[in-house]
Formats: sequence, structure tokens, C-alpha cells
Amino acid sequence: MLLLSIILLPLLAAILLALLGGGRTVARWVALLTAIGTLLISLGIAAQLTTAREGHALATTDRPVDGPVQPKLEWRRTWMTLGHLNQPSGAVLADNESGEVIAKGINETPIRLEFYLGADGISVLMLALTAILTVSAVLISWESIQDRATEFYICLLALEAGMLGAFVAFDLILFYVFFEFTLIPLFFLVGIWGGVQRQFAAYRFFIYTLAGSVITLLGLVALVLKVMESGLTATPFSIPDIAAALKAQPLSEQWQIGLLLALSAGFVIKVPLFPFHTWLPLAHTEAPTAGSVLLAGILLKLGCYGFLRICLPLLPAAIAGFGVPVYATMAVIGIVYGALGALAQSDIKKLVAYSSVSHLGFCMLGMFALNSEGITGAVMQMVNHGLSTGALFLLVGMVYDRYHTRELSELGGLATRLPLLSVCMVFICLASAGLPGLNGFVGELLALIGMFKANPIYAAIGATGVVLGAWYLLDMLRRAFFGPLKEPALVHGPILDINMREALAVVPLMILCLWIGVFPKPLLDTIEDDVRVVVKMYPQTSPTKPETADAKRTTEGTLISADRR
Amino acid sequence: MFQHLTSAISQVLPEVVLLAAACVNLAVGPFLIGDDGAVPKGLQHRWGVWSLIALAIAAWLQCVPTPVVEATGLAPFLSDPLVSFVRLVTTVTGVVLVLINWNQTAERDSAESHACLLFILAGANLIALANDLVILFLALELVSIPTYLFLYVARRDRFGQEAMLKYFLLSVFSSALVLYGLSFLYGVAGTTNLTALHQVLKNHQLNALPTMLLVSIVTIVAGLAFRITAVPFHFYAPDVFQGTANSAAALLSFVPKVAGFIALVRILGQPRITVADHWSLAEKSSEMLFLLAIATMFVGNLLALLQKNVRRLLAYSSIAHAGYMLVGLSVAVRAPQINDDATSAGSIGGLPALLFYLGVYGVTTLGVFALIASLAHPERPLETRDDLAGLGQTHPAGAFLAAVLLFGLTGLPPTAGFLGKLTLFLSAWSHGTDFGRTLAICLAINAAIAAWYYLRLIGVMYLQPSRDDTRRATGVPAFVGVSLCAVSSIALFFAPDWLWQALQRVGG
Repeated sequence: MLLLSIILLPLLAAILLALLGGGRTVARWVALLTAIGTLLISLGIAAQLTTAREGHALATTDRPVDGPVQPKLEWRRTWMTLGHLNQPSGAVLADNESGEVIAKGINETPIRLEFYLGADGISVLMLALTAILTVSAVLISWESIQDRATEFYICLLALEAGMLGAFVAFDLILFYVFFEFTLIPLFFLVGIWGGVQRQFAAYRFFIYTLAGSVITLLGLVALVLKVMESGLTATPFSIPDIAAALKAQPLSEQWQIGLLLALSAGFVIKVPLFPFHTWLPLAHTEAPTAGSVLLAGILLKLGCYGFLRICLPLLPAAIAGFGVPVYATMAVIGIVYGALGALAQSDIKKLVAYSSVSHLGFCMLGMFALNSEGITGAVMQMVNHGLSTGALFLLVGMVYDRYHTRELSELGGLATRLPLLSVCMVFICLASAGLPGLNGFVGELLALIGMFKANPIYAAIGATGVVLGAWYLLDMLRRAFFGPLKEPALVHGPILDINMREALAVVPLMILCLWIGVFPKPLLDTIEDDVRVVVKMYPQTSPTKPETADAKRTTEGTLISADRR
Repeated sequence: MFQHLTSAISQVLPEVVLLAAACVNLAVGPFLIGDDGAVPKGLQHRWGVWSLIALAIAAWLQCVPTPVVEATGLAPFLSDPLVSFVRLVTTVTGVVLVLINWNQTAERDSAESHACLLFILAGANLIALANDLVILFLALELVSIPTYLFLYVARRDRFGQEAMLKYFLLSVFSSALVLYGLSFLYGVAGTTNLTALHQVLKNHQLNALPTMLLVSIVTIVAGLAFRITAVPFHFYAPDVFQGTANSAAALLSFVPKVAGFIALVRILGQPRITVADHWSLAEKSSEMLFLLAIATMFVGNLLALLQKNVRRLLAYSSIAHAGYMLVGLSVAVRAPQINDDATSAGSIGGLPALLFYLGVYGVTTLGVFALIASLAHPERPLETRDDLAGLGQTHPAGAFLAAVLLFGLTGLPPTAGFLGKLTLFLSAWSHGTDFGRTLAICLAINAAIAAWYYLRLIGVMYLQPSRDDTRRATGVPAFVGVSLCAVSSIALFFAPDWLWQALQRVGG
């Protein structure tokens, strides 16, 4: 039930605000309390998950236990019964390994869309991250949003509900629903409360992302129908079931590649991988601070999460044979290109935006290493990037609130004027650059180790991103925060250092950065199981390939590299 | 003889009620207006409530199970799940249209305009009920002829008359085409009864060459394509929508589509899983419908991108939506391939998808027109896109509902429009042929194109400042209609199962 309430709480708060109205003060308090409540629920889910993991208790399903997606908590309700699966009588769908019957319905098994919520370690991490960043986003908007504030918080809460929903959805269509739904509040956040070019940015972001995700929908439809046609499972919309079924009886490689291309269209844009990143700098720069925090911190992760949740478990042959060279190359180019792009910026916010392209490249690089180090690194990098880039956007927003400029040429030596803010900035920049002892290091190191095992060349090129990252971040620090004091001529009001509210927004993130850097074990333990089941799909990475339909004759787990060559 | 008549009438009681109520309007209406044209106070409210009562009684009669008629199959009317669905749709449509029409027409004309509405709704029901070509044609005319009058009554200036005349001439022409096609059909099959006709076709008892059938299908589809605004029979729509009143535009955006699609479904029938050179109307028309669907989607959406006038834009959008529904129809009338290695497992029918989309589209498009009708005011018109600027501030509730409805037309969650598009995708792709896949891909491309112009409308409402910062006045009845539509669009997203289950039984 917690799973349902974590979506409903922000959604209901948004609806109440919309119906009852209320001024800025009411709206922001409602938003803050809701965000904190959501955070508590996410911690509750984490606690439940720990209990469930220790008890290995999930007796509610008859799914084989070795599928690559295994939510530990579940909540399912029928949404729409699309039709009936007519099996020729006598056919029994069975998992060919254990002989366990997956679907007993011989005739008239209903094909259902479901409200299927679930949680595993990966989604719990993302839930907690979303909840924390939303609290920070509300706090940072406390004073800076004056105009149409109620509507602002409505959008923010709706956005939170959408993001949380995407992370707990275990039905393909439900995931897509939340994935799409996030576009709507974000469109308004960017378009109404954004910077000078906000309208252009909002339209471009919306249309670009939508065009990609329509192709993803087509891919989902094709995938589901393909699975349905071959009668593999009675619940072809449920990600865990479909994953287990496809593991038992993979699709042919051609089909997998086609499906991968379609499915990844939306995710590649969302991540964004290299040639599809063009919407990102503008949207990040023009969005209000809270919007940038959530956009960079969470929404980009939806793309990675989509790969991790749908593409990797369901289409192993396509990922290993076709995906690795394509997406890892894109990721590597993204790392270097994003870093060089960041180096060239004179606007701090744009610099941070480009750094996202680079950091997300690490994330994808780790994921496409397809071994446990790499994927663990990728998940860690998702969390780390959310924390450190979220915090960076918060800090840049604070600077902007004070000086109404983000131009590096107009700022300098702020450390003398804003000492505490500068401390936070230096800390977060170091975390983002991957200084050992802080969180960025853990993720990047694991991702690079993973990739090094799989393909040293990608790892070597990718590693230059770490150096470049330190360069552009430290250079930004040097120019804006150190050296002689330089402030824009026109400054409204006194320039005060970071206040309590702003500290509350950013300090928790810093503490988490430090904690993950020093003691990442709890996080690694949380995702260990889930990463392991995915990695099991890829017995040996690169030169060998996992099973495909044509190679099905060989027993599971044997290396088939010999006859391939 | 009398027995036949009573049994036939017992099947169409709700329609009889609607027609009777409309006749009361026409008979009593003129006497309530004084010789000098003086109108008693609140006349339009009376007629509005009267129409709602008539609809309520009709709805109640629909729920009462009709006495079972011995299923000879040769009766003039035939009740099946499709009829229940159409009756549901027309009831909801009727309520919304009455609300839109409430204070749209001059008070002295309200009796006539409400009567026209009731005639049209009864006609739409009869199309679904008809089991005979003659009745079918009469029902189609029962929709068209009052429509001319409705268009004329709703707006009487120069633009309104031009729109009415244009619609009248082309509609008469298309009716003639349909009639021509039906006569060929009769000539070939030797019967006007639809059940018997499909039986004859199935049994190869043809009186004439199949070529004649081909001619008849082409003319029938062409004539009905006018009603559903399929390209290339769409060109009247933008002019008429722009020229006529909001209430009439609302009517035209949906009811003729219901009429056209239901008539097509009835005439073409279900495809039979066939032997090699077997002749079925459905099978032979699928190529044509395929081309119509693709042309309609692309032309509608691409031209909508260029529009500045809101109603003209919505006209093109309604053309595009007709294209989406044609996707469902082309899949429905083409028998699925069964030579695959796959088992015949669960394909999702085109017909339920088409009907589901029809219902969802109706709710959304009527809502949008209701909103325009509610907010437009002679002093503060709502004609161009710029008139919408800043609606988010000058009328927050209206802008919010408009956003819900427009996202519904785009097909974004959480609106029923998403499920409508999803089911169309599923039905087209599950057809398992290149035919179906092409349609699905074209549908996807068009969904993305369409997002742009709907989003721009929303953007204008929320992202641009208003020229005139005073709050807009609200036309209350129409606004009730808007709320009804928006709420049902969202509710249908969360609980689609009851409707979808009912549709599964149609033609099954």
C-alpha cells in the first residue's frame, strides 16, 4: 500500500491545491509538507524492502524465481482487460527449465493492462532520491517564485508524482504512462517560470521528447504483441513476467535488434546520449532552479532507468551484440563531448548542463559494460549525479538569486563575499568531479572498472572525462569564486550569505554525498540482488553472446562462443 | 402485420420518445412566441430542460430490456451490443450538445434548434438499429436534414449562411452517392435486408458480376467518407466549421462521424475468415479504407499545423482523428492473416478499438467546442489562437479543462485519449501483416505531428500574457458540459474496463 500512497500523496496534494486554491504561503507549506511526507514514505518502502529481502518473502506470484526483474514488493490491480488469449486447447505454457507452469489458462486467459506497482533495490534508491530532491526543490523555490506560485507548486507536486510513479511501475504501459506524464508539468515549469527563452525551450523539449517516446510506445506494443503471439506468458504487460518468459525462450536476434531500436528511441533522448542531447542545454538553462534540479536529478535518470529496467533484461542478445558497440560509443563520445562543451561555456548553469551530458555518459558506459561492477557503477552514478548535479543547480540558483547573472565574466572572488556558499560549492564540485572520499568517485570508478573488464578502449577514452571534469569544474570555481572580488554593477539589495532555508535545501545533499563516498555499502547491498539477476542474463560479456532463439538448443549457461566463431 | 409493426416499434422505443419530444417542440414552439416576436422569460431554459428530460426518458428506456423478438433476422431493426454502445454515445453527446446549445441560439429559435438536435440523435441511433438498406438510408437522412436546419438556425449572418449552403449542397450530393451505391447493392443481391444481403454474399448467390459490387462499394464509401470527413472528401469541413456557430461546429465534429462509421460498419459487415476467392464487402474495401486512412491522417495533421483560427484548426484536427478511426476500421474489415507460425492467440480487434476511440474522441472534441462556446462572447470573441492568449490567468478553470481536453486529443496520459491511441496501435500491430504495421507506424508519426499544434494552443493559453487582463465571463450550461467531458475523459482513463468489455461483445 505504501507503493500506492507514495504516488497518491503528491497527486492528491496537487489536486487539492488546484481545487481549493490558496495563496503562496499555503501552497508552499502544503508542497513542503507533502514532499517531506513523501520522503518518509519512501524510507518506509526502503524499510519494507529490507524486511522482504531478508525474508525472501514474496509468495504472491507463481513466477519462476530466476527472472531478471524481481520486484520484492508488489501491488497489482487490473486496469483494462484487452482481450483473451486463445490457446489451442491442450497447450500448456511452461517454463522449460523447471517445468513449472506459468499460465494454466488453456482457453480464455485474459490479457490485462495492470496497475502494477512494485519496488526493488534500484527503484527504492531512485524513489528516495526523487523525494529528497523534491524537498530541496520546494525549499529553493520558497522565495524566488513570486508569480503564480500556487500553480508552480501544483506542477512541482504533479511532476513528483509522475517521477515516483515511473520508478514503481512494473507494467510496461503503466511505466510509459508515467514516463509521458512527466512531460506535462515540466512543460509548464519551464514555459511559465523559466528564463528569457523559456517558451522556445519548453516547446522544443516537449516535442523532441514526445517524438522519441511515441516510437518507444510503438516498440512496447510490438514487443507485447510478439510475446503474446508466441504465447509465452499470460501477462504480457508485466515487466517481471515478460522478462522471465523471454529469458526462458528468447526472441530471435533480428527481432530483438528491431525492438531495441524502437524502445530505446525515447530513452536515448531522455538520457540523453550524444547526438540526441541538443534539447538538454537549453531546457536546463531556461528552467527555473527547481525545474533544473528535478530535470537533471531525476528525469534524465528515467532514460537510464528505462534501459536498465526494460532493454537490458528483455533484449539480451540485441544489447550484447548490437547495443554495446552502438550505445557505448555514443556514451563515450558524450562523455568527452559534454566535458568539452562544458569547458567552453561562460554561463555557469549551461556549464552544469553540459556536465550532465558527460556524467550521464559514465552512467551509460557502466551499464553497457554488462557486468556487475559496471551496472552497479551505473546505478550509483545515477544516484550520485542526482545528488551532486542537483546540488550544483541549487547553488547556481542561489548565486543567480543574488546577482541576477550567471555569466562567469561578471562574477569573481565570491568566496570573500559568500564564504559559506562557496564552501558548499567547492564541496559539491569536488564530489561531482569524482574526488576520492566523495560520492562521484564510487560511481565513476565502478563504471570504469566494469568497462575496463569488458572493453579497455572505451574505458580509457571515458577516463579522460574524469580529467576534463575536474578541469571545467575547478576552472569555474577559480573564475567565479576565487581571485579578486568582481560583482555585477547593478545589484538589488544587500548580498547575504547562504541562509537557513537554503542550507536546509543543500546540506542534506552534501551529507549524503559524503556518506556515499565514505561508506557506500548500504547502497551497494540494496541493489546487489537486482544487479545480479540482470547480469545473469549476460554470462560472459563481449565476444560471446547470450542465447538467442536460434542458439536455443544449447543448454543454458554454456558458452556458445566456440560455434559462433 | 400489426404484430410486425408493434414488435418493430418495441425495439425503437427510445428513438420514438426522442422523435415525439422533437415533434412537441415543433408543434408547441411557435405558440409560445408572441405575434410581435416577444419571448416569455426563460424560454431557452424551458426548452433545454425539456430536451434533457426527453434524453433522460430515452436513456431509461434503453436500460429497460426490450422484449425478445423471435430472431428471424429479417426484421427491419436489429438490437445488438453495437446498438447499446451507439445509444450510450448519443445520450452523452446529446446531453453535452443540449448544454452547448442552451444559450447559443436566439431565444425564439431555441424550440426549433433543440428539436433538430433530438431528431439528429434519434437518427444516429436508428443507423445503428437499421437492418435494412432503406431504413439505413432514411436514418442517415434523419441525421442530415435537421443538420441543415440546425446550421441555419444557429448562425444567420453571411458567414453562417455560406457555411450552411456549402454543407447543404455537398451533403445532398453525398447522400445521392450513397443512395446510388445502395441501389447497386440491391440490384446485385436482390434484397434490401442487411442480414439477408450478407447471407447472399456469403453463399455466392450473386445475381450480377462482382464488378457491380465493387462499383457500389466505391460509391457508398465515397458518400459516407463525406460524413466522416475523410480526405479527399474533407474540403468543406474547415470552411463550414469556421463559418458556423460553435454549437453547430460541435455537432459537426462528432455526430456525422458516428453516423458515417456506424453505417460503414453495418454495410461492410464483419469479414469472414475466408476461402480463397470468396467475396466479402469488407475484404474488398479494406485497400480503399487503408489509403483513405493514411491520406486523411497526414492531410489533416499537416494542414492543421498551418491554422490560426481555432475552429478551423479543430476542423483539421477532426479530419485527422477520422483518419485514426479509419485505421481501426481498415483493420477491422480485413481478416487477419492466419498462416503465421503463431497460434491464433489474442489479436485485438480493430472494431472495438475503433468504437472505443470514437467514444473517447467524442467526449474530448465536444468538450473543446463546449469550452469555446462557453467562453466566447460577442464583445470578446474566441476566433483566433491569439484570442486564447493568457487564458490561464483570465479564466484558470477553463484553461485547465482545455488543457486536459487538448492533452486528451494529443493522446497523452492521464486521459482516455491515450488508451484510445494505444488500443488502435495494438489492434493495427496485432493484425500481424505489413498492412497493419504500416498503419500503426503512420499513426505514430501523426500522433507526434499532432502534438505540436495542440501543444501550441496550450502554450498560448499558459505561456503568453493576455491582451486584456479582465476575467472572462463564463457561459454556465456549456461550462457544465465541458466539466462533464473533461471528467469523463480522465475517469475513462482510470476505469476503461466496463466500456472496453462491452465493446468486445460487438460483432463478436
